[in-house]
Amino acid sequence: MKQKTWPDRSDGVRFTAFPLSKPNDNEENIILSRRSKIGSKPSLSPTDGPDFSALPFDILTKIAASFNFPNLLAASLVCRSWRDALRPLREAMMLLRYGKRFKHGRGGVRRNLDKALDSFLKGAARGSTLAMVDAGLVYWERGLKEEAIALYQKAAALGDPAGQCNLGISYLHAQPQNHKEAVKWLHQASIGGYTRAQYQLALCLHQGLGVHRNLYEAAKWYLKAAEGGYVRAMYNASLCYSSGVGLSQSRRQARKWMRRAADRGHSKAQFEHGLALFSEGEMMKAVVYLELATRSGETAATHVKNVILQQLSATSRERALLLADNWRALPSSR
Amino acid sequence: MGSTSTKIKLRTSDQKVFEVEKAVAVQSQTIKYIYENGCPDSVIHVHSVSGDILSKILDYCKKHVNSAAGKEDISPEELYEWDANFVKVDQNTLFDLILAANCLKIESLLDLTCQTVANMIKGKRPEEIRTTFNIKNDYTIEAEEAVRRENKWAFDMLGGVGTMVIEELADDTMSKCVTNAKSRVCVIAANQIVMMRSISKLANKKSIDVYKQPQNPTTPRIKESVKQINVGTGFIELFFHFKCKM
Repeated sequence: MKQKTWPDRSDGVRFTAFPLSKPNDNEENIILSRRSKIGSKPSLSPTDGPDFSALPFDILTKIAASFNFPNLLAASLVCRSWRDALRPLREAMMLLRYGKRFKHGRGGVRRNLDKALDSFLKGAARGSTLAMVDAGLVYWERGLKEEAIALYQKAAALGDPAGQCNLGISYLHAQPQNHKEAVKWLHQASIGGYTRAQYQLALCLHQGLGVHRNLYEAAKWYLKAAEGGYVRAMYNASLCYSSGVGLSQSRRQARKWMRRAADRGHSKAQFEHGLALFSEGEMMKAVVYLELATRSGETAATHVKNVILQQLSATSRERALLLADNWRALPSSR
Repeated sequence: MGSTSTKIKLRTSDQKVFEVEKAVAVQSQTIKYIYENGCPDSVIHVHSVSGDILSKILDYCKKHVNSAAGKEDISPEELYEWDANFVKVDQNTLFDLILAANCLKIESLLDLTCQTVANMIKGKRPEEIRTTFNIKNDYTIEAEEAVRRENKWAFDMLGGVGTMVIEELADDTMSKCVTNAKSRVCVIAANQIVMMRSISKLANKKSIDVYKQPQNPTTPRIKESVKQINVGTGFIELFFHFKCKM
């Protein structure tokens, strides 16, 4: 029976394969040249314990691909071989920073998208998913959707939540639409805690796109995204609570989330919240929210607002308009 | 060639033999290559993988093949849960799984295990990471400082206003440069070195006042303190090291 052994690294894939089997294999020297620390076999003996400092460089780069700078620095400071392995990623971080400055025209530099893209692509080439996502964004803005999607795919495969979210969204808008893939990636990004993905996933579950319609799951994700600060999710969560769809009906929770959405600038929420306040008799507050809603284009708010304004004295009216003028939205994660 | 029930035999480093369906085994690009380029009937040696690990890996491959083919009714969320439980193993096993997935070229498993390790690293300080993975600290104090400084330089520089390629400077900043709070100015010049006024005073001074226009280059004092750092291809940045405290 003829026995087969491993191929040598002639098939062009980037992995650093460990030396395997053949006693007369000259490939061992080539493969080992990057790894000065370990012997001819990876340490698999249970008595020694696994030697994580001896992980091959390309695996370490893969692990740290989606790290932000603080995490990358911490990982680089673990031991010298990790430092060496992660050098390209540290360079990528610098390129990323550089690119961002060109993109936004900060720090005394003229805004220059070409240079920004160039920097991002160099960072992406060194394996940083953050750079890949930023490069993808520039491509997308320029209408080069295929290039953008290719970059998002790379980032998504390396576990970057932003990349996964953007990939999912691009599949939603793609021609032809690919909802199943979209949901798959949005789901991964949502589990990774990315609020925008959570909201989009909830929408898909709500509308039954690419996945069976599931209002419980949808509501659950709306709530998660709302808790993460996503304004539209707050509005939807409030609706779920008030109608009892997907979440147990709770007027208190509905009011809470509607108020939060209104405070963060959601125009429909401002209208609804204004109405609720009106029905509770809080005229001043109600009219301020309704005024804000009208200014954002909710024409339906105008009628009720005028009704209340007529009931107020002139000074109150002025005060209400002043409050509306000075109002600023609370920060949100979008 | 084979019907769907073609089996492939695999022998591990500890001489255990596994017989698996072809569809499962070829999840490994390496095994696929060997199988397609050799005798279909022979046993494939998987030298650097032990029986336990291979058994786990085959479980993984089987699950994913079945779910993709629709043989098992499992939703993406459930598969995700299954994967999450799959990697809840001791470190030894995790380490072995990574190396084996790498050798056998099973991309999805490598992604999964790498993500697991990544999550164990994120948010931790270096000492904590070392404890988690039982890694010995082989840094000297100087080497560690060098890394911190390498990045600190780069980030203060790239983060602060002081860094810019001369030709890219916006018009209003051409004539003056703001010093950043830490009193270091890094000037990236493609080919030129920008001369600073009162550079002789810099040795003792904290804040640095910069120039009106690029003047002609290098006094010996600057020359000796110019350090060149290559950042990747096509990128040359000149950092001025001053005698004053960094």
